[in-house]
Amino acid sequence: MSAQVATQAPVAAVPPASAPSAAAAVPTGTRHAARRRARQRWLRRVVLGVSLTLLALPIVALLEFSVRYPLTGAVDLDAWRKIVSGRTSEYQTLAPLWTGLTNSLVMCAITVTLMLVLLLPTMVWVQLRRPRLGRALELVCLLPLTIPAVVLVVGLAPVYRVISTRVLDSSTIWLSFAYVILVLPFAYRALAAGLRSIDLVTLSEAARSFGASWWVVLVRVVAPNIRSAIVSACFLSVAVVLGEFTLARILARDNLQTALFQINLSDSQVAAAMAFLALVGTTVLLVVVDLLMSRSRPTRPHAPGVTAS
Amino acid sequence: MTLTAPLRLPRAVLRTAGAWPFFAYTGLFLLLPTALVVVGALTGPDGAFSLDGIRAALTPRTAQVFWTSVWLSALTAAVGAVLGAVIAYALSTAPDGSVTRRVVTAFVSVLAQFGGVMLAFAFVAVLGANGLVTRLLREQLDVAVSPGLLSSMTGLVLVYCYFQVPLMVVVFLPAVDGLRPQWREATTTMGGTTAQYWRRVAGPLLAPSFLGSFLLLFANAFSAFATAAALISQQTVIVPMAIESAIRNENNTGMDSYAQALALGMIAVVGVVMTLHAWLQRRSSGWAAA
Amino acid sequence: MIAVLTDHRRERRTSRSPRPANRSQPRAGAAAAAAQPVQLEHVTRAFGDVRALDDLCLTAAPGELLALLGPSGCGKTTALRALAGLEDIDAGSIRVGGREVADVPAHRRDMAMVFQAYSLMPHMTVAQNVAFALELRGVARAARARTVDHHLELVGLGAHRDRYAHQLSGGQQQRVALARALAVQPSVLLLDEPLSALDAKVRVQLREEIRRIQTEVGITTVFVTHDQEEALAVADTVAIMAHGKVAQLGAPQDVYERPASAFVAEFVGTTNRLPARAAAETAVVPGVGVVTLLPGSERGDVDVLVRPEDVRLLLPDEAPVGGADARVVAVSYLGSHARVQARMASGALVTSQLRVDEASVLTVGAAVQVRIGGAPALAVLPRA
Repeated sequence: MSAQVATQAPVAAVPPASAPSAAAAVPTGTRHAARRRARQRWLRRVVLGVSLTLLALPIVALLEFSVRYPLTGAVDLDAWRKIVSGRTSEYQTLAPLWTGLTNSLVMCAITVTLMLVLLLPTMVWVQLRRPRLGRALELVCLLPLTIPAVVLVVGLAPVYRVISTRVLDSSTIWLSFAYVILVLPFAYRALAAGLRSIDLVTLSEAARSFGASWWVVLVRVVAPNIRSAIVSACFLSVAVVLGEFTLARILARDNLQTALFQINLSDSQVAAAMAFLALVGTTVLLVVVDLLMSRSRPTRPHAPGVTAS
Repeated sequence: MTLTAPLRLPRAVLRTAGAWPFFAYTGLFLLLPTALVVVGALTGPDGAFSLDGIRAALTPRTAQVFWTSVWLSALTAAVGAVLGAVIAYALSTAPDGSVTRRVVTAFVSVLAQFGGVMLAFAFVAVLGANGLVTRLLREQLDVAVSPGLLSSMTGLVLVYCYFQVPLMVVVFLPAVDGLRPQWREATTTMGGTTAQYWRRVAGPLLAPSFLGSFLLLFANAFSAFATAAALISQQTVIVPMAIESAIRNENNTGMDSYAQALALGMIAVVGVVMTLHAWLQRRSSGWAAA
Repeated sequence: MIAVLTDHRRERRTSRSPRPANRSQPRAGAAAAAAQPVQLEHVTRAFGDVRALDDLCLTAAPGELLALLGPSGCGKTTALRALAGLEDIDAGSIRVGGREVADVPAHRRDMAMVFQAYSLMPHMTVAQNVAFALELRGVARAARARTVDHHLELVGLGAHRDRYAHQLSGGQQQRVALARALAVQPSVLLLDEPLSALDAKVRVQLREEIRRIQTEVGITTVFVTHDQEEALAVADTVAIMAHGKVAQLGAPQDVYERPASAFVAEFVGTTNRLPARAAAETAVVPGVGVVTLLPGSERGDVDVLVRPEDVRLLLPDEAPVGGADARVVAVSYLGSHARVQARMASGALVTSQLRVDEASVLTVGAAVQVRIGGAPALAVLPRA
């Protein structure tokens, strides 16, 4: 049966039985896969186009709201002028906003520092010395995802009563202690992804064999190798802290979000402008995180693990 | 593992000490508060075990806020899950690493974060009395948007969807990306139509992730406080708002235990949801590894 | 069309000789009556500027196993996918059993495909996977069970019917994929590098099994591979592809022994290039000997392409006059035979395949004489 083919074997590139059947060819080709791809492209464009437009609408509206004088509809940059001029005695009503913003920024710094000091050495140490603790560490770090902040705050209220009366004072910035807990899941995931991407055991063994101390291993060997993961963890933490409202509101402290809430009652345009700024800032942070994470991860890039609201 | 370098401290101390600061810190700010809620809800004023606090909290008013919280979360999770799944699928058809994929993923991961006060403001700018859409509808179509829309439950559902849909895209996209082209092509060459592929292959494969994502969305909405607090200031409609008013009401000492009872109720609901979620994930993890 | 002998699966067979046997005779037990011929004629497919298929013409006779062999990017997978209907063609004709199928969408082409890996449905058991294929072909539920059992036995996985894909080894997964493809009794079986994701040992074992089952079932099969040894071992006919065209089509022995071009000779197996002077029928390799030329050879100053097994290395005392002076530079034992490299006086390296006892007298540094054997060789233009 295959003899027919075998006999013509040594002749190169001469198609068997080619000439007579040329008439049966499909000159225009087929479009099976092309049609499917076209259908898919069409679906993708419509779905993404409509959904992105709708999702972008509130952001556009926020910007428009901040520059539109509500009674006349004229363009009015007053709100932005107030923000640019910063904290002046001229706009007394905006004082809470600047206080809240300052508090939030200070808390960003404290939270990020505490998070890094607590989490990174522990993760590295556990992975090198006590891998069995890894499960417990992960469990604790992801626990805040399943305990709503509003539940946590009920238990934190007595803790903060002690802190504000006996240990420190009632300043807002001590909320950072609780914020470290809130950022834990995001920071943990970012750092864990970074640590997974390097061969930590070999790296540290190599460094230790040259006589490096444990501290040198951490600061000079591990940290530079997971720099983008560390930056991601920091930025995610900043994004969470800047957007935090629940704890501050219920524990009666003043941060950016509670200030926005308060300012909105007196000057809603400034609140809108500030919310827009905060949103843009967060977007930039998260886009940088996405870029950094996808660089350290060889597989499909997807969004950073942000699930809070 | 063993390290060759000399240890400066006795081994036994070092072996446990490394994790102490971390567990001490999380013990103080995570585990202690959680324990305080649970213990506080289950003890009387004398410190002995008592269900009085829970019993006192079981009023029609409490049932009402829990019911509102549950249906609000379920409804917005369902809407978010369905719409988000469609968007995630559409996004998954864009080539890996393409501009579309990058831009949209970054955008939705920001929006998934975009709960709270800022989202509430944004919606005032869209559908408030002077909102963009309100004006468009009024001027172009002569349709009036109810001024109370945003402080009604309908408004709350609408606003919640704005963080539920993007969150669904974020958590469901990896599952859709996990569908291998071979499965579709194998189905096709064996004679299967697109409908058969979705009904018999992609559907069953995505079902656990879809349900899991739905539960995650439910927990997300159930825990949310800021959005509702910023939109509805006059009444207490959902559990977190009830907790807030209980805590901030410092004049009444009995309110602390009421807040703890409510918080325990939230832990119970979220606990059940997250247990189901973990069970679903375990069920499908075998496939994911294949 | 089931004419299958349920014989016991042979796990291991003696390995084939390095030179493939001629297997172009019709096989016994093949259900040749139902087998369909496959013809690709003047098929063209371009992706942007790249012509993946360039006026490709191919024929697989009914019931035979046609291997598409070539380096990556030669168009072999595109050809297979075009045949399956998973890929479009820009022009040309695809016929199965004489019927034009180019316009038939993939799900109605009555074919079945085994993919490189991961093609089993992960949420279905082994048996459900096979039954699912039957369901898609419209086989009634009651009739499925027997066919499923039969085909799982055929691939030796009857005992694993209730396992999931992730509980199977890579080789077992591919067996299930094969059972699934055969169960629907397609007109053509398509295998897209089915072994390339497997370990070397499993690969050899499974390719022999694929060959056995294919012979038993007697189904026309197109097998894509980049592994020349695999292609020569399983195929009735090998199509060697390059740049979207068929470089040579023939029985394994033909493409190996009578390559039509330098590309084929060098892609299939190992070959020595020896400078020579070619006349009408023969070529003289200076100091080595005279070889008969294959049809299609160049004339004049050429390189002749000589297989290692046609090169002999002789110690000076046993060499007749006329061998080239060479020195052994490397000896590698490969179990059943040995490969010896020697550097000739001209500086050229020559590789010889010898029996182990022949090679055992050769040590690195030994002076040898090079002789080439009697097999005809192809003369090609020297490399620029």
